[in-house]
Amino acid sequence: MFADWPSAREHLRDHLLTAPESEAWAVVAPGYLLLLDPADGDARWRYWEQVETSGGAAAQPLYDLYREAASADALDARLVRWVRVQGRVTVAVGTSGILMLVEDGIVRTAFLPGQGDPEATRQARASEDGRGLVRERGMRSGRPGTGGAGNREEAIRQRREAGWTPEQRLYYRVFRPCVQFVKRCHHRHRDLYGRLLRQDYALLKECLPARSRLKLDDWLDLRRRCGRG
Amino acid sequence: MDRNPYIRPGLTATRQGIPDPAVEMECWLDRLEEVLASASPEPGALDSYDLLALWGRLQRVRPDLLAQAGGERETVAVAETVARQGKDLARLALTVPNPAAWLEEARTLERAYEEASDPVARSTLAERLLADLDDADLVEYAARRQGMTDRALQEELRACGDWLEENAALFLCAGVHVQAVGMTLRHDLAERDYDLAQTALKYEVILDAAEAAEATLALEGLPLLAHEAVAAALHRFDEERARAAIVVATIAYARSLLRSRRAGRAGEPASVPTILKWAAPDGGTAFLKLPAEGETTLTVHFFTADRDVATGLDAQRAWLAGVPSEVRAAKATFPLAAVEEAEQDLRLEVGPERTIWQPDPA
Repeated sequence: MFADWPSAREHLRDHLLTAPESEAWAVVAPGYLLLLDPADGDARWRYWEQVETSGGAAAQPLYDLYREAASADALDARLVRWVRVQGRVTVAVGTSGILMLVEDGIVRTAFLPGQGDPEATRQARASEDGRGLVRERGMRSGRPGTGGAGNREEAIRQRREAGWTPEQRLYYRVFRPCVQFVKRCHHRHRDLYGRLLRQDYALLKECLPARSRLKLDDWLDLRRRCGRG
Repeated sequence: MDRNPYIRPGLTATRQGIPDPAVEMECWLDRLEEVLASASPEPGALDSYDLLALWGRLQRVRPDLLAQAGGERETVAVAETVARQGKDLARLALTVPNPAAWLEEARTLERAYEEASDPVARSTLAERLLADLDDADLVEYAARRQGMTDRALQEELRACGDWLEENAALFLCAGVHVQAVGMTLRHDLAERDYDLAQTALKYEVILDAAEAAEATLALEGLPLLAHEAVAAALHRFDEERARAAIVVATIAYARSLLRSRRAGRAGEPASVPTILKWAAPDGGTAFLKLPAEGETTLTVHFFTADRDVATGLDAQRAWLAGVPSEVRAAKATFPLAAVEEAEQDLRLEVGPERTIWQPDPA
């Protein structure tokens, strides 16, 4: 899929082994949970160390899951026509919410967008241990002296999601943030005058149906059409 | 209809129909649907915060747009929830905003310009900072409506607003997003609810800054020239320059003639000369046909003053742009690459004394 092994390895580190995207990957590819706990920063770190010390061999099972998920979404994208080609670049998104960018036949990236702030990811990587991310920061980090938003929020979220079906989890946690990300690129990837700074993900905005035609039931229909029901 | 203060038709992107308010609406409604779906007797602080912010935001939205986005159901549901649990939601939500942390983070936007970071990362950060401040303003507004006034928070948020106003230009990188949000706002907001309109001031401030920026950088705002038009203008410029070079040259043709000729397109009328002519002190002449695309040599043909082939020059040395050759059968051939690499004007020198032949463009 990728140009070379270092690119693939880097991708595993930055997407599958970095929170919070790691948790979304476990929703897309439940086999992830058999390999490691995506919410456990230490476990992800240990896994990465094994990948490094084994010269990459230890990453094979995770890479296989990744490749399988991305390939299935690429097929979906073709079937539901969520694909755009411009010059050497092809962008596509599948019904799981994997966003792919292919250039000259080589996968440049395939990730789950809308799962976290890329800047936060970069900062976490640059930090001393690089072992995970805070869930909220800045304005939403909690009013000093009030206890703020913390573990209790996470517990509430987990309790709520415990009642969801796997499909609901995939739809609400992964697919819909992806669609929002793609649509928001229409504004984010432009300068003040409206000129596109990047022509990649924003290209998909016109392919994706409006919100009113992409509700949970509509999405389940699409999944069935793609043989994923 | 009154002028809508949140829509600025003079801005380039708005004029071109690029900002799409439906994008913003869809994202707000998606989040609201999710929060409503997870409503529980024991709501979390962040969900309460989002719920109140979204409730306030939808109060500001044009009703036609809301209907178009299919958001009536969520609007009714959130209004009912706020009416039922407003105080509890406000109490929890007020534990979330941290204006000091926002200000700290906002300064990273300033640094993002200084560090020439990725423009998309910069616009994403600007958009998020703006949305974060807007959420906090809306929550504070909603809490006040529930009779819960937090003076300290009000002061801190005012400081954030002041910072934004002073640094509005930093948010221009999210200009298209701001224009889209502006398009979602009802034009009569200030008349309907003055306090709520205050929460939208930040967008007006940035729209003002965008108008000022476009006016200042008016040239930047002009539509981009088509690539073909630029190429044609460049080509014409090269031709003009080449002709000028011939006129001013006294002892050599400008070397740019080589490039101009080769850059010419097939079938185009050649306003650049195709043949260069030199005159010797004894009345002899020399001609060089400029190379077409694909040719690799330059051949100078020598003639006597009587227009005969100048075989008398055979075996003499000749130099073009300093590149040496030998005259054979009244011709001297020079490798094009060597002449180009010499980076000298096309001076023709002939014979043991290296006599300079004068360009004769007539």
